[in-house]
Amino acid sequence: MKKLLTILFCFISLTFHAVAAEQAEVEKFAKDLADDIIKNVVLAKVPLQQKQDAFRKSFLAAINLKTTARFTLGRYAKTAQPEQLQAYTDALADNIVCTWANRFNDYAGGALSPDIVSFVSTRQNENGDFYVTSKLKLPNSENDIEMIWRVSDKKGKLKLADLIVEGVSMLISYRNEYTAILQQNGGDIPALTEMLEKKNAVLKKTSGKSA
Amino acid sequence: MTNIRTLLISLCILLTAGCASVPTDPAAAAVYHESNDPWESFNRKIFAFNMAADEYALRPVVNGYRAVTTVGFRSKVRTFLNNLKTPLTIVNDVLQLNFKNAGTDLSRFIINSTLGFFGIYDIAGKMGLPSNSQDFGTTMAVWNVPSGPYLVLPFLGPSSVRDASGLVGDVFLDPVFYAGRGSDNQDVKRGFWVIDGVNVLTSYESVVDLLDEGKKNSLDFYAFMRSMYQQHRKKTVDRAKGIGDSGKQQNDYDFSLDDEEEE
Repeated sequence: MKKLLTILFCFISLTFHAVAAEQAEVEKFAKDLADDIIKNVVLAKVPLQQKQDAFRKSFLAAINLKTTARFTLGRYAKTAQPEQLQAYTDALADNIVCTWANRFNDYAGGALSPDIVSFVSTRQNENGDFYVTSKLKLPNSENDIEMIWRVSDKKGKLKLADLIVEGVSMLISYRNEYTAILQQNGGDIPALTEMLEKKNAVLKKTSGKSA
Repeated sequence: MTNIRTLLISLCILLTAGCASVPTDPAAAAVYHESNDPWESFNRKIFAFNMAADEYALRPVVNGYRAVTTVGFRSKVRTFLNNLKTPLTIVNDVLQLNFKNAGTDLSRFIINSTLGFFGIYDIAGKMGLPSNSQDFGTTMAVWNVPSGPYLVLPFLGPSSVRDASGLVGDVFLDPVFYAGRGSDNQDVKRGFWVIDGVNVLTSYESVVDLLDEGKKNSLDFYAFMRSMYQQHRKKTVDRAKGIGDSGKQQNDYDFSLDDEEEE
């Protein structure tokens, strides 16, 4: 009986230790990504193009682009041809880079410090993904902004699965908007890709409040 | 009375005419159900009207307000107005049976109205009492009243049938409304009309940058705004229900990505 209890205790301790270690690793992943973006995009005193390149390098490496692209097409992804899906994925990647790099560049207009993001807590959901909660402190804003980094561990590699700002998920937002367009155009993915490419061409050149 | 009936019948006809049928294509049907927007064509017209009103009427006023005030001043005005909304939040806290929040909000109101110089300074926030804002739409959601279809209101923008009726409820539940409108003093009444006007202006001023960014980045600004509103509103309701804080129930963004993986 004593032996059995000892084995059980060791098993629980090891499991708890493994989960805690993985949680620490996930938090480090999210923190490193945030630090990288703050340093090279938000606070960097470089032209917009350079910021977009820096963001592309760190953010696209952190996400699973293929999964993201398929998710944002909803059920329409199932009927897409591989080449259509590839063209859409490329256009979406460009759009993510332009939108978010420009957004972070706009934040740089205020008096920001390197510690604008503070990490609060981490939880794991039933699917095994981790949700790292952080607070974003922007100048001239009365309240902190809640930013959740959804991190998944697929095949031993950590990836950013989603970014949730004040309850608004990046993935769901893209999907809601793009599937609404596909619903109206009869599921024409190349037409959606073309719209994205046109938008990207404008966004690549512009930052600030208007385009 | 007859006029009200005619108005209601006209509105029903208008909404029914704008009601889209459920698409037969499974992918399109999934989008239709997810967006919860059967009155989309009607809503898009109101949305277009709001965008025109923004460009030609509201934006010039906001630009003028920004031109003659500093960021710090606008922040103080917002803090002052938020403090005036606290009694309504307390009423809704009580209706939601959330007495802990009601106590915190009452403390915030007393502290900020006195030490915070009539609510201009958020002293309570600095003392660790977080700000909270509740409305009757959220209260009805806590009572499990369904949101009903998505609705775009003229000038007010994205809403739902439940939240739009909550706006009416808020007017009658707001103690400040009775203090202002119920006063015999005409100057007090006029003062509250001015406060209402400034409230509309500051509320709009605080979201115009987000609107601009959304317009700039989106492919379909209407669908983008609908998604933003529905997700953010869900978050507000979940917070009021205590969902997500302790992980006892899943948030909406806890969806599985596995179905979307390449097979």
